[in-house]
Amino acid sequence: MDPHELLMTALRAVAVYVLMLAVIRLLGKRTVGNFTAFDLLVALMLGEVVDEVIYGDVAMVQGFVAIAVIAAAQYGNSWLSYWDHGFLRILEGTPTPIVEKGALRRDGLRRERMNEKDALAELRLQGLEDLREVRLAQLEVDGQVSVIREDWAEPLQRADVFPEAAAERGRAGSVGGQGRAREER
Amino acid sequence: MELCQVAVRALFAYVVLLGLLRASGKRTVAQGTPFDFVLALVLGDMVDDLLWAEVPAGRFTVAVGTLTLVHTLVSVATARSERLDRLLAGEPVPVLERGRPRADAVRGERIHPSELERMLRVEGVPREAWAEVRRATVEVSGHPAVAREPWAEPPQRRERARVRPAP
Repeated sequence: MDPHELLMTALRAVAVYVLMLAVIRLLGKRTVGNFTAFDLLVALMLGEVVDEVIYGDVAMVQGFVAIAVIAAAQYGNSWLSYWDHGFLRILEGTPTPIVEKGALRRDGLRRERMNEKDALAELRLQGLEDLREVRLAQLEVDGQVSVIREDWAEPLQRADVFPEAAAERGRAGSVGGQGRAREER
Repeated sequence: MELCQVAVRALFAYVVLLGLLRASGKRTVAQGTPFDFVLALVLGDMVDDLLWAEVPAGRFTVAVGTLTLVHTLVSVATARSERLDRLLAGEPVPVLERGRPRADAVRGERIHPSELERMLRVEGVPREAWAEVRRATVEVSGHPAVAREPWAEPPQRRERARVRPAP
């Protein structure tokens, strides 16, 4: 094994690591947290470019140009989506209801090619076994499932049992617009 | 015969990467910071060239070893220096405070209001319950963290004596 070649491989690895870290930091938390399908896609694309650069199969400059272009496209896209909600909706889609008011939404499940078992598994992961406790469960555009419980299935809050906490809830409700409407029982 | 070699190389790559990941610590596996994320992205891409014998095992090992070494140095340095950590990992960004979106932060991270709604929905907080949120942040890992107002927290056992059944 040519020691010079090994050394060059190591140096290129360091350079790629530094560049990728800079790019990921510039793209921000949405890329690290895979906020949307695009953020995930960009991460995968960036990851796919680097091996040839590290092994020296393509020139460093070429690799850097490719990485910069992918990153710039994602950066531009995220600004466009931020300014124009219509753009975001077309690119990302909208959430699909899979359970509503305690009943499975067959149409939503079909659209997302999920079966009943998948839906129940998602609810179990959130600690729910009884469909009736679910007001609305949706498959979100990032692939996570959000679950909003029926009001009666929410855990107790201090404001439900302590008068002074209830007063604070009243104040917050009047300041912040609408507090969560709670049925008195 | 060639299939056998592919199998041997796959096993070799698996053992090397597993060893490196264990050496670089638990935080890398959890992908808690941007540099953990970068390492996972880059390492995942290095394997195929070895499998198809496009690079010799020695160069593969040097490449992934160097990446893990740099990453470990970065982790150690950021654990020691808060300034370096802010620079390389960034800081958590508050996106909602006292039930209201923080316009500057939301813009800085290019989080559309509908994405903010989704983020909180996934945490079990619908739009009409935003008033219950004292502070929601996006952590450096890109994951949201929600802290509720004290009045919206569940009562704790130590408060048991004061709990009265509702009339």
